[in-house]
Amino acid sequence: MSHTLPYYPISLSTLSLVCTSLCPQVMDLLHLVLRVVGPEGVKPFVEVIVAPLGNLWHSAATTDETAPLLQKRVLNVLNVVTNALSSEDAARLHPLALPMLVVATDLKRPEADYVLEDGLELWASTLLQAPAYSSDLHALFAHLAPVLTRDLEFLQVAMQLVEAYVVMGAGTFLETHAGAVTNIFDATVAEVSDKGAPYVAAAIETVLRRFPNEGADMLRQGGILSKLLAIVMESDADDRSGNSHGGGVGGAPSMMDHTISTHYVCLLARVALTAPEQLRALFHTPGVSDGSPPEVLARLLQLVDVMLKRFKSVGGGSDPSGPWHRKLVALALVSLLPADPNVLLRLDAILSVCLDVLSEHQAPGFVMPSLGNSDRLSEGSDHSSASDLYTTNLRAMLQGDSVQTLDLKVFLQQKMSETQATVGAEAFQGALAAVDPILMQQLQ
Amino acid sequence: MFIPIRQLHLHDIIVDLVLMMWAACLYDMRQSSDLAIARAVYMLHRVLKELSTKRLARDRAALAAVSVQLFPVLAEVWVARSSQLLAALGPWAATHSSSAAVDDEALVPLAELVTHLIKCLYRITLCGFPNTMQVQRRDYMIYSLPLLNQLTL
Amino acid sequence: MFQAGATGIAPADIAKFFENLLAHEKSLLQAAVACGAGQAGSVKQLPTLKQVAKLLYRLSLIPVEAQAQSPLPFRPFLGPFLATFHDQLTGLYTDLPAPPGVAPAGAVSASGVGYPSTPATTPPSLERTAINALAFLTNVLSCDEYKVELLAHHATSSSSRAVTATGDQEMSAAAVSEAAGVVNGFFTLERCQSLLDLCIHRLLPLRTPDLEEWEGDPEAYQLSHASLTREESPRAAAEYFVVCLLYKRSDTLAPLLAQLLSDTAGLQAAAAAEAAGAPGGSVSAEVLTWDARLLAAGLCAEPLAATGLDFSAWFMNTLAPCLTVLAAAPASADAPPPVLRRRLLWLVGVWMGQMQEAIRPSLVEALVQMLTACASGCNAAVSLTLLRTLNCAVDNWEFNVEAFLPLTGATVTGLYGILGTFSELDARLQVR
Repeated sequence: MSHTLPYYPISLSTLSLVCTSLCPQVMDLLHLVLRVVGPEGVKPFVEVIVAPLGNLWHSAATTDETAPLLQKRVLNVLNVVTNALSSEDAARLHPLALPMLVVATDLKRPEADYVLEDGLELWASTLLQAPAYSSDLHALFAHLAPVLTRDLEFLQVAMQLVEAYVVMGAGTFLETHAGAVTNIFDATVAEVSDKGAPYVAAAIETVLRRFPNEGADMLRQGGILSKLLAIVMESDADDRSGNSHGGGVGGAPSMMDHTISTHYVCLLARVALTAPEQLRALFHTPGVSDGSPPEVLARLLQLVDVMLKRFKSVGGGSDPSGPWHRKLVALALVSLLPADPNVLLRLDAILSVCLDVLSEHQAPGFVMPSLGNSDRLSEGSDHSSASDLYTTNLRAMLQGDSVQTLDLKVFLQQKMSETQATVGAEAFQGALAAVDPILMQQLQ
Repeated sequence: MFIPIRQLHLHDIIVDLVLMMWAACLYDMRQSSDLAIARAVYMLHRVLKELSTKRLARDRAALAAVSVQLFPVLAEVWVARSSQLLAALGPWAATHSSSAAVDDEALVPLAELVTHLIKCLYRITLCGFPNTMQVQRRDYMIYSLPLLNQLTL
Repeated sequence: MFQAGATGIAPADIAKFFENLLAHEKSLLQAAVACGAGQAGSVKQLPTLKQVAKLLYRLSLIPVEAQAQSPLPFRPFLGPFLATFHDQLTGLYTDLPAPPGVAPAGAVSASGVGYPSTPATTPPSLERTAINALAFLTNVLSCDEYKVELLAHHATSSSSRAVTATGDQEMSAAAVSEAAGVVNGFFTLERCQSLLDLCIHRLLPLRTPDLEEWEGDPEAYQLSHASLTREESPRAAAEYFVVCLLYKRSDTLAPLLAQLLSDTAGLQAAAAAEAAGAPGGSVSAEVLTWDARLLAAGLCAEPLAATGLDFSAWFMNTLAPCLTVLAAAPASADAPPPVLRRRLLWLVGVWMGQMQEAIRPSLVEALVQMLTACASGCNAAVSLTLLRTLNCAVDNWEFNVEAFLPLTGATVTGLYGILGTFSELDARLQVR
């Protein structure tokens, strides 16, 4: 039976769901107010807001039972303030924030379970706003790997942190933390669902963009590239045998299965384009092949076939980097043309892919979207014109990306000439003859 | 009032046990051992309470089977004991009317027994056979109205 | 086994059982009242009476839950139980003195009956039976299956089945009409009015145990007050019943409540009384009466709005001046609990959605000023209520951010100030 009285919580006389202790309640209201007023309201009163936080943090630490609740809120307030400030001003909070982050992200502490999430968010805000890459930030990275080896609950923010560290810390970062980064990818690439795969793939792609050769080498030696390849091949084999992969959850199994392998295919495509030596070395890795030329060739052709097959799924839905990835796959396929005459047999399909990409770019009104953390690059607020290191480095990295700088048509012509030189004019003409004439016409 | 267990179509061993126990209680009642009766009723209450927390259809059917068997007996016992308590409260009030009175607690066991009986009836009527309340028969309405009118307590 | 007409239990047995239940419950309550009358005011409660009180609670619980579970089949017993529970409820609270008194004048506080089992019945410790009575009246009044108008869409068939948690129930038009007739015949205008009066003026006002609890630990009082259920507190049950009455009989009762609230002079006098501080550090009766009336006003905002009550105007003309008077009163360590101040702040929070946009900025500014005042020392219950009200103001689609920006600094300072006034972090976590 039902009563049509309006819903009232347990106590009617207060109509409030007071469920926490008092101090967190005050802090929650403070957090709400700061969120609502935004940067305009926060900036004039930063000192007032931030001054008591250090004491609150320490006094909370001395109280066993409610410490985590209050510390959570301190982190939340500091996060709102950090995001509201410019890069230089936010950096002045580092002496306050960094010691808190050391505590909040340390899994060995018992309160980590309560404050880890908020600690990670503050860490991301602090890092992304930082004007320079400091030694404190550098040292803090060591806390990240345990978070992901424990479970994948904070995958998204963790991958965001990895990306930011790679962009900002560059060589300095990788020299110290290459092992940790490899461990992180090792713990995640094969474990993520189709929801988590884009984040992991974005982080790996950032490594490959920033360090095409060294990054690929690091990933290959760490076994990451082998894992990516294995997952892609397994997904392809499942398709062929008609089984659906275990990764999908309801819906059309075929579409959801491809999400992970499509993202990973793009990563392998990037290796093929920007670090072909590493790709070759990958194909010679024990486990991938026995090193004999037929086996190596077979792996190469498999990869080409998968790239062709998955091309349609690349950049699906609302993925802002879709056009980039499609161009990437096209460039990668073209770059593999001179590798072996057998690749030439797939010329028709490869040219079809190129045509798709070229038509997309030539379509009226088409604008290549910005890449990476597009929020930070594209929004017209203070952030995008601010001097935070992340934005500066990210812009430079993207502008130097081969996918950005290479012209597909020119590259195609270049590679076709190379191929002709490698296989000989007769074989080349034979391959051209096998291509659909309409396709050839449109490409001219 | 002995319940012949073999005549019951039971499908759960717990139901068997409950009814066996209750048969023993009824036997005890004829022996008029107040302590045994009180304990038996208390145990029955605990068992019914536990059974009423079960959610599987099979368990609920078991409770329903038990409830149907126990209800008439328990209702009768409750009326008898409750009337006994009501009768005793009058004289009790007379001797304990002042604020300085000291309670001899003689009525407490009887009051507890009636409470447990009512708790058993609560489980039976509300958890044991909820669908029985949905029977709409004009005959019992006709039967019940005059009785209600006669209530003059 | 339990198909209609083929249950293992004869319907006559069920009917007999409920008749006996009613008869015994009535007799037992009469006996308990007779026994307990002489005990009222004694410090210790006799074990026999305690057990009888428990038994009464159990006896009265069965019809409450049976009606809730199977409303239409219960209808033969609706009339008798409605009458009985109504009489018992009014009887248990007839001798309740005006607030804040809890027992007949001269008697000490009733034994074992303190917060949150307030108000205490006469004799005491029968509160749970009173709660059951209130629950029964509430459930019956608000039961949809006794509403003829809700069967309108079944006009084409004479009967339909409703699927409920306990199984399909027959919902014939005749059954619903019969039940509706009983309910409407019972809940007449006079009866509803007297029940509303009973709730607002006898059950809702705070009593001595509540005020003592408040004075002892304002923070704990406010927190526990927020989690009271209507199964454990007669006051919470009465609140629920008031809401039910106003929503189900809004046409007749809402104007009455509005009229009650229109006594501006009375409210102002109560505010002045609280600001001045009653002699002996106690809370005056008129303050408690108005606390109860404003509580009802907050609970029943929708029906009141439907009568044409203009909340914004009432706030600006009456409530705001009262708040100003109360805020200006000098704070003193041994002052009695600021009942009216807390209630007015609460009311503002509850009505935030009804306030016109134009007055909200100045309302928020006033709240921030109060926050600053509270930061330098204020009853914790008031601080907590103020926090909650500010939350309602800020966490709102129509919150005027621009107007609020200059107040940010004062708000932050005030909030930190309040943090400092809480003597220790509250270690008790309340779980929803």
